[in-house]
Amino acid sequence: MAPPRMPEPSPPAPPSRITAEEGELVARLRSTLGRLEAGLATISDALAITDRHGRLMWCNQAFEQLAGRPRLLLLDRAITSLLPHDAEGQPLLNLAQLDGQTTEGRNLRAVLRHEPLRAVAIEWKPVISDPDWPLVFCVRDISADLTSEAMRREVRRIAAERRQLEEKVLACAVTGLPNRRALEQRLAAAFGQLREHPGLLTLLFCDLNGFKQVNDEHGHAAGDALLVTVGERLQSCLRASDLVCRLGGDEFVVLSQGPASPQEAMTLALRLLEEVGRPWSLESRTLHPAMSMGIAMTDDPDLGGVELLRRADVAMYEAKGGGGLPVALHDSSLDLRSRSREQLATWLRRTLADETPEREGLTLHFRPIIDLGDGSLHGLEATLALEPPGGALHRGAEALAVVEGLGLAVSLGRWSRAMALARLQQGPAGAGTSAVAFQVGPGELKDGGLSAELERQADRVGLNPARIAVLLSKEVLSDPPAAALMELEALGAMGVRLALDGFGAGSIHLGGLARLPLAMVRLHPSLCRDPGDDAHLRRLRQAALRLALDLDLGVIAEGIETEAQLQELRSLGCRWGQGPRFGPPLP
Amino acid sequence: MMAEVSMPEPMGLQNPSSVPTIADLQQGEVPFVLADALGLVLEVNEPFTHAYGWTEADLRGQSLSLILPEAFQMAHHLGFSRFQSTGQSEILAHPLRLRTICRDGREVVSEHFIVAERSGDSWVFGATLTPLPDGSPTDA
Repeated sequence: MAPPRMPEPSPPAPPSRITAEEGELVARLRSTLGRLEAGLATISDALAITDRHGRLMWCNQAFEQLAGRPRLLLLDRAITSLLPHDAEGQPLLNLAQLDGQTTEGRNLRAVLRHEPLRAVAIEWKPVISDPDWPLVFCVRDISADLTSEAMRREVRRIAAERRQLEEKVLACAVTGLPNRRALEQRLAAAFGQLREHPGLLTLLFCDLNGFKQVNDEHGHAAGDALLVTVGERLQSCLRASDLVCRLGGDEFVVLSQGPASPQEAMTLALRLLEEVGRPWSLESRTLHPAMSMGIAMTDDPDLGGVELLRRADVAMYEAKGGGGLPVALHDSSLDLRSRSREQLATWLRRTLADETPEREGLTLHFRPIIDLGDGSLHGLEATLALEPPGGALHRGAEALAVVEGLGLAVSLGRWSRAMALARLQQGPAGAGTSAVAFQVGPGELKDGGLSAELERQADRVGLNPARIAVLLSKEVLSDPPAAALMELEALGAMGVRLALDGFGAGSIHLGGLARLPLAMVRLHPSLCRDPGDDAHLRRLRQAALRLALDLDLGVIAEGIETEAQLQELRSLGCRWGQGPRFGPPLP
Repeated sequence: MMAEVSMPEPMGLQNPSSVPTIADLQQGEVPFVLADALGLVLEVNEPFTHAYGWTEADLRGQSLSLILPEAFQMAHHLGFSRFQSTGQSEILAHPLRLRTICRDGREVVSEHFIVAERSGDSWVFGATLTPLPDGSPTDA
């Protein structure tokens, strides 16, 4: 190391303003103060001196450590902002406590937020002999006193309060189940465990069907009660180590490390569906809660909770729109379908936003409805066809299901009805007929406004509403919301003929047949085909037709391919018919 | 939000060779102040008087605390004393952004670089105080 050297040129002897004796005295005082300060740097108590307002003027090394910053960064700052927070996250001191000082000084005890818990005692008092009244603070670690029962109780109390707070933050306020944040934590832990102990992680994304309807018709208290029940039912089927959480709205998630294969996961899902679907009494009614479930499984510890949840969500969406089993297991084809659905939705929204009435890729086809008595054209059914550029073609009921699933049924339905009535007015598709039928999904009925719109449109083209038929899907029968019932009654009152579509296939709520103001049913194509030697099918068709006719409902037979079918269905009482026998749909 | 700085190692009795000497600081064109072992000003240079408004006559023989904000004076005196007694310091030989008091009472943020050197049995302190633009953050 280079020897210390004097600067060049040497500093001139200053005309000092203190005498040599005074200088000697100052040097001795500085030496004494220096030793004192060095000594205070070695003690464990944190010391600080502030001005009367609590702004730091000096502190020792222990205080620097307590504040976690070097002294230079602490000077001239309020001591209240420099101390750590207590175990409840609150400041140890506030400026109001420092104001109105008495000569006695004050003290307090607190447990710090740090882990492990540390207790401190803080004392402060003014230096009353100093006209500026500086404050001297001493913060002492009294963790050793924790051997006293009182202190241990205090620590336990604080820890319990903290746990309660955490539980509150991690729980759904309605069901008491863990919430999304808790799920994220559990997923992170589960993936960590998967890294240590290879296995399978299964996530079931559950979406309660018809929850909005319960809320709308019976109030939020009933909706909340249903959520609690569903949560309890899900939990009753699971192991203690599994997790049920409510993500929000009508969505629940089950996280399990139990299933060892997709089959076992499917079995678990079916068990959950059965349990959730048990009758549930609400006021004077009995509901059967139903869910759609998506399952995602992984053995990859790097997949991550967000991706697993996304996959289960995609599968749930598939289950909801599939029309079959309300459970779907995720695979890569679902991702493709999901992407394709998103592209379709984007295209549809953009197309619908187009102001011009003719929209590329959106077309209507007209299927003839033939009077089976004389073979004349009775009317036309307008069906929607979606053909996005480069995408698959969706027609008829399938197109309607796609549109319903995307939440675009109302705007697209309105467009297709306007277009259909305009075409009917222009011909030539409607030449010889003035009756038209439309398929209407449950979404359009729930939202209301259909009757008013049809009345307006019929009036615009001069069509008697009695010449309009609305084809309703079977879902409308089972438990129609009040808004849908009102809409159906309004349609019936203005003369629109309501027809139940797909009659004879799947389950039909017989009570709904009597309750709704139906005028017709459309027999499902599976009952219209030639039964040949299938006596069972023949009897089933006869029974279905007898039921419709006994209820004074007109019958349209759908899917007629041959003259023999036509003759037989006519002889059984079908008044109208549709199908390839009468030619392809008209553009 | 306050800037995080690491706690500097206490400066030993002798400067490492990489640290500029007082003579190095003096030769620059930036404001410079020289003080004796008691913390009394020995001299200031022309850029110092230009930047802060003090004349050498104002400061010569006066305590350095005259150019420090009041909130820092106690820590300055005790730190200075500690260095006198133990040779340990946390502020020597690295740049610090601190406030400096001008003759008209204004506070100016400036970068201080302080060096201590032996002078016989005693110490002498030299510091450059480079003014920083208005609104510059300080380390303290």
